[in-house]
Amino acid sequence: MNQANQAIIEKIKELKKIKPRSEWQALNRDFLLSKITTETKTEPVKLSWQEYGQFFVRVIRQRFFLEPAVVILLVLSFSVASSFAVNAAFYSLPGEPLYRMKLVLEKAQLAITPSESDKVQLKIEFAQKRVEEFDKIVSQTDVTPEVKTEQIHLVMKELQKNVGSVKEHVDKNTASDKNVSGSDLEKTLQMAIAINSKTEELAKSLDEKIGGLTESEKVEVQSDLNQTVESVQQISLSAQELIKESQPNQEADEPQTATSTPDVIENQNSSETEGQGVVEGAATSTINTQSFSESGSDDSVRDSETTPETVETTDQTKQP
Amino acid sequence: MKPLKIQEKLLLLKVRKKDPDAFGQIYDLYVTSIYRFIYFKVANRADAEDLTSEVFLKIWQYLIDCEDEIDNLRALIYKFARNLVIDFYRQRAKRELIGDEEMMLKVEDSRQQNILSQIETKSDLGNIEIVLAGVKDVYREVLVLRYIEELSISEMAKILEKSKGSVRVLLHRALKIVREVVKKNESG
Repeated sequence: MNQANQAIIEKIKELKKIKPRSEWQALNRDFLLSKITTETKTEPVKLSWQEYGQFFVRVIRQRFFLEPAVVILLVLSFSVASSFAVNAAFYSLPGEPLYRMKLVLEKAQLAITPSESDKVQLKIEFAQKRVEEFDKIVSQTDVTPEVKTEQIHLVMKELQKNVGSVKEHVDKNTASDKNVSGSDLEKTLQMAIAINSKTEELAKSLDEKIGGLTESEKVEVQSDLNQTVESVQQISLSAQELIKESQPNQEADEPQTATSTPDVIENQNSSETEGQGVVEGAATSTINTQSFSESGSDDSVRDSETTPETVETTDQTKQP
Repeated sequence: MKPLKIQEKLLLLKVRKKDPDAFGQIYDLYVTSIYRFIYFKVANRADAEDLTSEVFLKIWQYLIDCEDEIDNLRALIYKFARNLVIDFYRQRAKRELIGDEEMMLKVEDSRQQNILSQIETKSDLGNIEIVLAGVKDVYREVLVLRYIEELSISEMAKILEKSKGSVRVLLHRALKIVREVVKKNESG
């Protein structure tokens, strides 16, 4: 039946041969055009760019805007293209078109990082990246010395910026250090330790990298390098200072926490023995305290739990 | 030739601004299809030519007057053509009613008469054309729109003011009827 239908359809399609007479077609065209031009005021239209723009926006909106496949395709192609660009930017060197993008991306990453300590770590990472770039530039063989020097200048400038912002951060922390409380202090301390170790690494690798330069290049970038190395060392020093400053505080805190346990227990004891034989209670508590100091903090907690019972039993035996 | 949607829209935009050249282009794009579509309805070249011309005049007037968004120009032109043919038959019927009743009996169905007069002259193409002429107008119309003018089902639904489902049913029935008539002719 399908075949029979197909045959009929083919036959019907042959009727496409029926066409208007070509002379009539042409004459009618002229007739129509002359008629419409006499009846209405017509003029050849030249669309402006603006009108073309509006037209295409309308067509796209009508035809494609809500088609899920098109939307998915657009999103996909955009994300693929952008990931390629980001990837390419990641490997770019100063002077290359995508290098700016790399820096902008780094700034964006910084902007969306809420925690201060993470920010410093990121800044240090970026500085390390600059050192890596520096390394890559030095090891390049396919560029002219002028380009190389230019790139080194650029990367040094960026490195100084990075190092400068880390330094700023450390300085800020040193200045506000006096007023910080417990948990913040701990954070600052962690940060300072991280900064110290990382800046030391940075200074070391910078020193190494200078060795890879030729004499002429060395002369060109020496001052920049010295400056950068100096500020890196300064950061390291400030970080060390930060550590030193915060350590005495911590040490001062520690004895307090150590003594606090017996105090608490003594308080517990005194409340338990209230209205009973005070002398005996006080005596047992001293014994307990002595045993705590001998058996370390973990045991002391366990003992502190058992203390009231011990006290009670002792008291009961004393009662008539 | 099926024009690109975007080309059609651009021409529409220009015609709206009363550009005769753009209208000329629309004419070039559709004149053959519209002529053929009307020809299958009136079965007379002269009438088909007159009506085709009239369709384009009406379309021009509509496009420059109407401010509504036009979604499918092609479907719109076919719809105009279809309505004009309906008017054409209505007017003719009126004239015949007013005129001589004997005359009316003679010209019972002018379209069929036209076809009959052509039967002798047509040989090759004629066969299927005569079969088509013999079937009901609704069936012939869907077959022409679908297989000669190559319109989509949704375009046909717009032109015929029917649902897509009923257009499919009509097509199916039309094919079945034509197949039966062809079979009968071959065996007879």
